[in-house]
Amino acid sequence: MRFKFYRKARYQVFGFILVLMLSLSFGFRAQGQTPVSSAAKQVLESYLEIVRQEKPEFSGFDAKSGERFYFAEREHSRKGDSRSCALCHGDDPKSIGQHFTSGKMIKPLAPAANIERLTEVKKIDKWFRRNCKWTLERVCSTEEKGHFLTFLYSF
Amino acid sequence: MPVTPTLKIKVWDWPTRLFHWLLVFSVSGAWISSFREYLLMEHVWFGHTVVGLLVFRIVWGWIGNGFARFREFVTGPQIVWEYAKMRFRNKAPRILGHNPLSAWMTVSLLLVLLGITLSGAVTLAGEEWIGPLAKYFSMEQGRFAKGIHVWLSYALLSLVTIHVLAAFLESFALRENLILAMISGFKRPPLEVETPLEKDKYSNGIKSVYPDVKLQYWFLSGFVLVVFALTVGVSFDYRTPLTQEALAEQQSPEHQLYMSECGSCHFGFHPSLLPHRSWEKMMSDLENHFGEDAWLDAETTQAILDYLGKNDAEHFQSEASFNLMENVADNELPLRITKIPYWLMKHEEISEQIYKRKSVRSPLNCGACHGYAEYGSFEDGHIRIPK
Repeated sequence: MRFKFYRKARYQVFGFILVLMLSLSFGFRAQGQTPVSSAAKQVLESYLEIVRQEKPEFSGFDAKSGERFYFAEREHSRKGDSRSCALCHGDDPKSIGQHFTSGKMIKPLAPAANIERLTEVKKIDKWFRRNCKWTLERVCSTEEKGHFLTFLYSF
Repeated sequence: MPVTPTLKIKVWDWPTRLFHWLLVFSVSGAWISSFREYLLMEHVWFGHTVVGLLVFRIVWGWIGNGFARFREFVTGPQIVWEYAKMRFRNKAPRILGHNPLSAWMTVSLLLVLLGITLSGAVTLAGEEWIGPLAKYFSMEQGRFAKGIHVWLSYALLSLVTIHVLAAFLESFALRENLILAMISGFKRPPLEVETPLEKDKYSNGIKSVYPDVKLQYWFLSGFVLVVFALTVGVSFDYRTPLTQEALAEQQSPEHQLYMSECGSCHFGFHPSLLPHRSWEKMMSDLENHFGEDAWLDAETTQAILDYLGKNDAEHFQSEASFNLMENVADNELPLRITKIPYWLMKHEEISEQIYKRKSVRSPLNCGACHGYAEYGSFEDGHIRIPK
């Protein structure tokens, strides 16, 4: 008698919807990788085209090379400090970073943790331009940028 | 003449006594908390208590018992003068409630406190943008009110000194512990001297002690409500939601553009912290932005410059911008906010150790300690230095 409550039709419908939502959310989690945004897809395709023009045998961007690039340290010629992407964005791109000089908190870089990342072509270009110069004192090559984006989507 | 020890008269009813000691508590609290800027919110809390108490006392002055009613103890200048003459010749009768001189002390204390709380509220609204009045008062009005607030406070301190001294001296002169009377409420009946003045007061007092019990209990609840609503409610609301709502109104798409472009690498400094000429200079050479390349396309640069032009120190006056600009000459071109004399003066006590903390990292990181700094508010009550 005590469980009569659950047998009412409308509660069964609620329960069904609840179970459905839970399983769906777990399903998306189980997928593991964040879907690539249309902006990032567009950028990656154009990068691949540019790289293939020079190296027709190029197999594609991989996260491992991107990870190496992300952690590679380089001494700044004027400031003398050792800089890398990880210096400000943190060892884990899924967590909050902190700007090395200004102390400003930086939202996670990986789209898995911050859905707004890599959703605008203009912003992707701007930040590559600015931060490659800050970290490496040069522009990044198309190949490096492709590996880097692939690495960020590997979470 | 010996006095029957059992015979006592209730002069100060309990709401008056509670009022008196709560006022002592909150005025001392307000005075002590005014010494440190970070105690501003506590200062405001005490100020609210004073307002609540004043409201109570003024109402109680009409509906309280005979010794508490203004009508019963406030007298004209002639009687005050007569009494003063008698008192200094030591021939004055002992008066059960307020004597004509202390009556005017009470009235002036109440009036000065009213002035202090009103000017304090305007200061808070104009200078710090806190509270419901924040929209109605400008920076200059706030500063003007602060001047009044400070001078009235000195006046209050002198009045309090006289009041306390008088209470002690009269206690010795009348051989009656007046301070204790304000705690217990009881006084010795006036048996030694019978004067018309005294007789009047006496009979009035006796007749109107606890004139209406129901009224008193009704007032008990009103009193408790007023004090608590004004203190706990209002002052705690100030700490976040009200201020936050007032400041959120200032956000616009232009503001968001500015924050996303200029607040990604470093803290998004509020435009009001620098004058227009400084922003123009800075935006004209973003490729050499304090040794970094912060290049932006021409369109974005112009959009941000437009936003800055509407919110710079000349247009968006806050306490911080007002003070920062006060000692910057028109021909100076400040670019680093942290090099402006007022900034340096205000941060003198902050040690290098604090800037080195991981949670702060740099003096540029305003928001690490100043809550709401991104809205241009550097209100003292929101300063929290992180560990």
